[in-house]
Amino acid sequence: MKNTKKVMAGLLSAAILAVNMASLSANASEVYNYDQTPNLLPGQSVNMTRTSPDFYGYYQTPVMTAGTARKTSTISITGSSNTISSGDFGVWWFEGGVGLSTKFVRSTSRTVKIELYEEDENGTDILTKRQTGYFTVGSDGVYTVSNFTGETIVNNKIVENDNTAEVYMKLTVGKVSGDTSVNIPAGLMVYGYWID
Amino acid sequence: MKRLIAIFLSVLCACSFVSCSDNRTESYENAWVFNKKVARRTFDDGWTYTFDYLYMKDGFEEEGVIPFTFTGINLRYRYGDDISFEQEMNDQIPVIQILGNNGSPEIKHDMQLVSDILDYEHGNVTKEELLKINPDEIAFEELDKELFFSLMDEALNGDEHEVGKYPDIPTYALLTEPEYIDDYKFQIGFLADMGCVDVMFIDVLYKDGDNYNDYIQLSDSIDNGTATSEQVQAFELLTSISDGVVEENNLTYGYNTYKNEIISEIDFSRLYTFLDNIEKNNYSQYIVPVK
Repeated sequence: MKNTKKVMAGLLSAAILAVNMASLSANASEVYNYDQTPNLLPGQSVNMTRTSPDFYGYYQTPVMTAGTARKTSTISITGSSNTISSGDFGVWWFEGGVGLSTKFVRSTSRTVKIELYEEDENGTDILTKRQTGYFTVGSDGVYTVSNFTGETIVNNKIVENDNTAEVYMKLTVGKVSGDTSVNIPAGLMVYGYWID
Repeated sequence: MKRLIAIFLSVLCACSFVSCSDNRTESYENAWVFNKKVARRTFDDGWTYTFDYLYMKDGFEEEGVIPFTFTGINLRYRYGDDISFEQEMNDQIPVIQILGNNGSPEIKHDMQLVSDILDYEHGNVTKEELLKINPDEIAFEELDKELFFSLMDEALNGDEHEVGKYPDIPTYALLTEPEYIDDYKFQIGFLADMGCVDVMFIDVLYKDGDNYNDYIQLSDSIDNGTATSEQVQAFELLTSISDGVVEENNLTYGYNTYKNEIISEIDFSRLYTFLDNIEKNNYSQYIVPVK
């Protein structure tokens, strides 16, 4: 199992991969409550107890069109159990290396809808979690996605009967009325998957 | 990361008001529902500091707009001096330096103070309120107070930023060719606003090992006097290209004169391809993967 990582404060206003993380204690359970610790790394689930997750990353978000869902690449992630449930994996988010164009109004009412899927070989992919990201201006002065709600489990069930899940997301960046473009560059955000 | 201190190293381009030359057209102006005023300062250490002021045009209203921001971005040095051992061990190395995201607690403190002054959370501060602030009452720990307030004053009292033909260009990016070819690759950093490239720095990175940061930058060889005369000639051409891109707001500025040049074994056709791809919004391949 890979070395664990512990989340530290500071990501909400981070720039490119200003990821402030420290290692999780290898044998301890830690509860992360996003609402009570607003400086927690975005992507941490609310009231979720996790120990020593594996991490798969880093990936850059693809080119997107505001208002339209975009599917990310499917990634295989392997956990420590022989079955995987919806709550056993999730996403950690970081700021990317490229800024939005100024055709996107710098408004805090812009969001990104995040849907996490587990790909089923029979073609019926399972929506496991939903999450919302909010565009804000961080203390670095950069307008990007810097706040996230906790993940909401949509279908709380076993999604794999082995130790490997095939996961992807559908991302929809919202439009704001003052926008005069819908073209979002690749690399706006960076993410990685964790799995217990 | 080269810290911002009160002494300016040297000014590459004290750009009080940015302009994108002659490609302002009626069609580009009408494409924007807001105006901006932007003030920038660029320094030899690669840092460019920007104060920008966004305000909606008459008849347009939008909730939650944040009108004022202050940023510092380094377009010359991708990696700072303050990457921690933990970041390296965990492959969490930032691929661009943005003021306040790594580095000293003092800078983090100052950028949080700027965030409070400019009200990034709600955007409810006004231009008049900002102009009334007494700098003597602001206690920055490391950020140059004179720089911040002079940029703010220039932006708030200056002219509108012109509009140009690159509306979809990112507001900032630090891009490199994806692989070393012949043991070197081009790096292009730029800042843009309202369809104009405002600042650009082009460099050559010579491979000097297998680690992510094992390279020698041509610009450093120029500064420390170790560059050959041919390398000096190459760097002068790079500088003239980047200056021309900014002055003419044309990413393929001068390509007919340089695209077939090979100077000090640097193939400028690769640079032309790189800039041409940026112009065509085909630059994803140049985004450096997270290390």
